[in-house]
Amino acid sequence: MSNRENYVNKVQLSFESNVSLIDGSTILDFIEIANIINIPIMAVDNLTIDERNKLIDDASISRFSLVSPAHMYNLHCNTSYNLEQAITVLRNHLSDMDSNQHIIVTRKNLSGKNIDEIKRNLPKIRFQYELIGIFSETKNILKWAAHDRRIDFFAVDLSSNISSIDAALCSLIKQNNKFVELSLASLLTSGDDKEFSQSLRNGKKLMKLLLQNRTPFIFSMNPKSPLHLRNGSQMRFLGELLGVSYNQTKKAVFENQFSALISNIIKLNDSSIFEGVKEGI
Amino acid sequence: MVIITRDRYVVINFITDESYVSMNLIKTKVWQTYQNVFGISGSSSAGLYFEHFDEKKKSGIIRCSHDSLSSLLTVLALITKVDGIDVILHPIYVSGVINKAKKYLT
Repeated sequence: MSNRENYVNKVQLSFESNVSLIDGSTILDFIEIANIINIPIMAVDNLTIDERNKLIDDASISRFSLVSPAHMYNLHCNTSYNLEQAITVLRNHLSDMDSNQHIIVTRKNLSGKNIDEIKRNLPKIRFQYELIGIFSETKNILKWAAHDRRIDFFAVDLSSNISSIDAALCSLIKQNNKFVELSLASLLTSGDDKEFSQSLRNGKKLMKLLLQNRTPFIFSMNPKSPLHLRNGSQMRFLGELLGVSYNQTKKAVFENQFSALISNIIKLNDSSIFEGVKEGI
Repeated sequence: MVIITRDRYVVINFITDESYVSMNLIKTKVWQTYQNVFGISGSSSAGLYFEHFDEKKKSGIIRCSHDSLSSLLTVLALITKVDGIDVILHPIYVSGVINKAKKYLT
């Protein structure tokens, strides 16, 4: 039997990058399901770093142990490590991590009507969240965001209009080391066959564009309910529906998200006044 | 010429909040979703067969041809509701031998 067929026997690290707690489910409900289907890292939308730390303290009485990525970084990495070394060390740690331990990441999804509004909001949230994504259907906003180093992900919902993403934007995203985030939720939650086929069509079109321009992308389930969570392997199989092969999505379910997270953790921990210059005592 | 098809046995767990989910409804849902996504021709060549189901343990084994394994796993990922009940059909093991697959039934 080939390795590909026997995928479920191997450990596939997964990263759910956009969990919303708007439907009344708590973080522990999500953690319980994530524990069963092996998702060690989850990014929770609209949860600030302070709120997350309080949540971690509150969850200490439950059977799960929640940790922050900054804690994990400080525990296992030296300040002399570069990004690649830090990613390798933390990745190895994740593979050997206790199955009841979960990493909670904070995230904010930005959306605004114009560039000025986003420019005003970005500095306010910069140090409160570890990952920042942007969701917009306006081309100008997306092109501006592609140049901004504070933004990590360009969120795309397959049920919405995707015409704002074109080859020029893909090229900009690739140049600035950012990622297009495809939310696969609409494939699971579409009300009827028409909506499902529309989402599939949008997804196939977008995947073709991303592959043509070699733009890095990530998959997320954007679950509103804990039972809409899917692990990395399942997301990769859903990706096959969008016309991208299983092997091409190797980095889309963990590696890309994880590298963005670690690079942000290093930036947030860094005491430099500006790049290369540190304050003397 | 006799063509022998190679089979794969997928062990699945049902994750749900409810204490009981009817296996017949799950079988129907898998068939229905497979036909919706891959068509009648696709589902006929998949050779789906529900080998073993345990409602108490909430687990089961689905047999399919080795060519259709990825399609079956896609279909399992797509299913979110069975008869109005939220459910995850989580594949935990894939084997080419049924006896080995049976060891992984929870």
